[in-house]
Amino acid sequence: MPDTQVLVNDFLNKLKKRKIEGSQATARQTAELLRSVISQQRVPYTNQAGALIDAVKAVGEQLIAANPVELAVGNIVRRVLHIIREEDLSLTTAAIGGLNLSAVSDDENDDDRDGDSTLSAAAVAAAARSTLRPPSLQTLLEDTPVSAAVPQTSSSGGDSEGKTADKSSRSRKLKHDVIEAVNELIQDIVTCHEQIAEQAVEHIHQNEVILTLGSSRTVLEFLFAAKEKKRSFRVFVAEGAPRYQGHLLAKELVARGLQTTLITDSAVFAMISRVNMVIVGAHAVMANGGVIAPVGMNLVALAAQKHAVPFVVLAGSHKLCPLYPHNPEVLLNELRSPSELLDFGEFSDCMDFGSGSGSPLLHVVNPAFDYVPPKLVSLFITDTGGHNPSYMYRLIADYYSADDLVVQRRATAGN
Amino acid sequence: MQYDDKSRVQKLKKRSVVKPTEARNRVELFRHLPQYEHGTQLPVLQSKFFQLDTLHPAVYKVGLQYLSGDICGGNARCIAMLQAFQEAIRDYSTPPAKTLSRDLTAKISSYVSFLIDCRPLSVSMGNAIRFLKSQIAKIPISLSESEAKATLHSDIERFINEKIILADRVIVKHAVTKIRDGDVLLTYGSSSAVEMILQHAHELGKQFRVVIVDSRPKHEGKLLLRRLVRKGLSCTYTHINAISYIMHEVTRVFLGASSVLSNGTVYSRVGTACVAMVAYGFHIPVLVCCEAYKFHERVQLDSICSNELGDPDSISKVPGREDINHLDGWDKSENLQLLNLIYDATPSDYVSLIITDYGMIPPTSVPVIVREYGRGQLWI
Repeated sequence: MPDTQVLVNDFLNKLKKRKIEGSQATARQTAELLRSVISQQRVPYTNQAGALIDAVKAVGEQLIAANPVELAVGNIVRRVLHIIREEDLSLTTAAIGGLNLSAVSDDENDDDRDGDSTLSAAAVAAAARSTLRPPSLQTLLEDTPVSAAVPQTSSSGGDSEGKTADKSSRSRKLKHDVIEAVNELIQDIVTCHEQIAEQAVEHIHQNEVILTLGSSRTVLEFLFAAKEKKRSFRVFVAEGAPRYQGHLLAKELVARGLQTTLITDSAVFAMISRVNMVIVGAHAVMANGGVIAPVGMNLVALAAQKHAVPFVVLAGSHKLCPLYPHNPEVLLNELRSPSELLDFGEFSDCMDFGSGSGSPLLHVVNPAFDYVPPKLVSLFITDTGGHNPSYMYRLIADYYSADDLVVQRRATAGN
Repeated sequence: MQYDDKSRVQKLKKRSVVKPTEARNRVELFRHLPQYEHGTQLPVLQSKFFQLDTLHPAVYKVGLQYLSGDICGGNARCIAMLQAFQEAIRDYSTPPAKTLSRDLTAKISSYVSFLIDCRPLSVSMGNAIRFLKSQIAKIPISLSESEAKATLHSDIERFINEKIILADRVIVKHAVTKIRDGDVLLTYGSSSAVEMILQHAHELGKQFRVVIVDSRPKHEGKLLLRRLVRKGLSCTYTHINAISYIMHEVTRVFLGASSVLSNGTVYSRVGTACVAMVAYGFHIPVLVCCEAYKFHERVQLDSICSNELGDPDSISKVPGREDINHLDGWDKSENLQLLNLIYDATPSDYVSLIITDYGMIPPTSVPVIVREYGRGQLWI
């Protein structure tokens, strides 16, 4: 326990001080942290899923509060919660399947039953999932927490001996399955670039001109994959002030042999009439299909819409956030240091606080993110394929549970 | 002048004083425009200051000021050029067996080609040169040389006064009626007309805030910011990527222009089109302030067919941020080009109103002004 606490505090510090760059690194580290929290969590015999969920929620709440703008943290917390619920559900349906089998032949001993339950778990889970999953009116109206309800109902038949042996093996299995699934999640996060880059050839033809802003590793791998398949195209990179990450991307593209032209952000409207496609990365994708992207992206999206140039956003599935944005320019934005625009002390000679009302005459605004509304986006390319912005809300059902949208420990009885 | 035609470029190079070297890593789309290496000619020309006798020293000085970027902005360049021409005309004497008008016109043309070599002409300068040449052509042969020179001197004086200085005052008078108390005004870069409007409105006691949007590589907004903060206006400073964030608070957008073309397109500092587009998207009125002498009968649809290319090295380096040095040695790799556009063309649909010394007109009325008040009657 103290081990995980130290790890959690360490990670919280890094998040608060904005030391981790990029949503992929954040997502991976969050998943690894939650994995260690889960593996070190002691689970009781009954309701292990509930205990795991509470533990993850407790840590998750702190992580989200540390950096509310980094949506990938919340996404991964919710993904892990969904994994716990899913694994618990599949184990329960397997147990029900096993209990049904044992009701048929009572003389079989525990080992066989366990073997049967593991063998038939997949099939029974798949069959039973369709009956147990869809919300019936009763469960919707009763508002019982699923994690508390499920293990109890399965204990209503069968003898207690088999039950305890079943439960202990199930508790080991639950943690084991959850950790396996979290490992798969980490694997997905790490390899999302490859799966997106595989689709590059479908979208880039010969002699194309592509525009991008700032620097995104997904975009770099995407373009490089197209180049590997011998498509010849040119890239305009807008530098993306005031972080100037476009310089980095231009250098990498040139190192890999692509014709690159670096332009200033002010020249985007001037050059976009000669561009065939705009391909950009995103910081986060919201449930309505809106995109939180590095600052300047809305400008590019508006210019692309005016010139009827397709605006393609590349995003790994860990960036899909199940929340709908409200006033995202202010609430999901961060203002960075004004020293990136004006040097400290540069204007100290003409700022006289003694005159007038004493309030500063000079105010510098340096937002970090921009919001692109879904109607400006032509296509999302994720590791599961290409999607319309209006479809993104359906993907949420694959990755997240409805109960986890607000990550908060319930203070009421029922834990 | 087609810079993608090799034979013509060779001929031009032989005649020119400045001897520019062509840039490596030229951007393909802009092969029809001159792309020269910057920074190499200035020391050479400075050393030759007292040796050139084909050029009047005042013109030479102005050329060097253009080359180094000391004088920048349509009005400032035009006034500097005309004042240099005034001095040149004052020191001019007709050689025997030549008429004043023809010889002087030829001399002015040679000065102009030198200035073009230093930095391509702006539209304001082009219109002023056309005016001057037409005035020289109109001088009756009966006039003596001193009288002719005096006429020309006063014509130039009148042009500067009426077309630029008084025109600016009229524009300011019109524009301050569009500023109400509680307004948040956004401006881009540094335009002399807009600066005068803001200062005058502040002197009249109107309560408003100013948002100054700036961009790379010139950071002209910083100069405007300094002057306005000194005068006591409350300003917000940001960069062009953040305009979607700041545009929520803005009530009016004031922009300057290098020229307004006959199809209503506003030809102005690069980035103006982005600002106008976002303002139009937020349903905020865009007011362009431009003196009428800058109107031109040419038409342009995009920013590529006609533009000016600046120094690409100013993009690879970021002043004050030494950690951004990824592009050191960029000219060695043949795959990388840096593009430093100076101007861009804003479509007329984004512009709500153009404030000129002839009044406040919609963009569609610009060809009317060019036709009625263009060549024929020069004085109001």
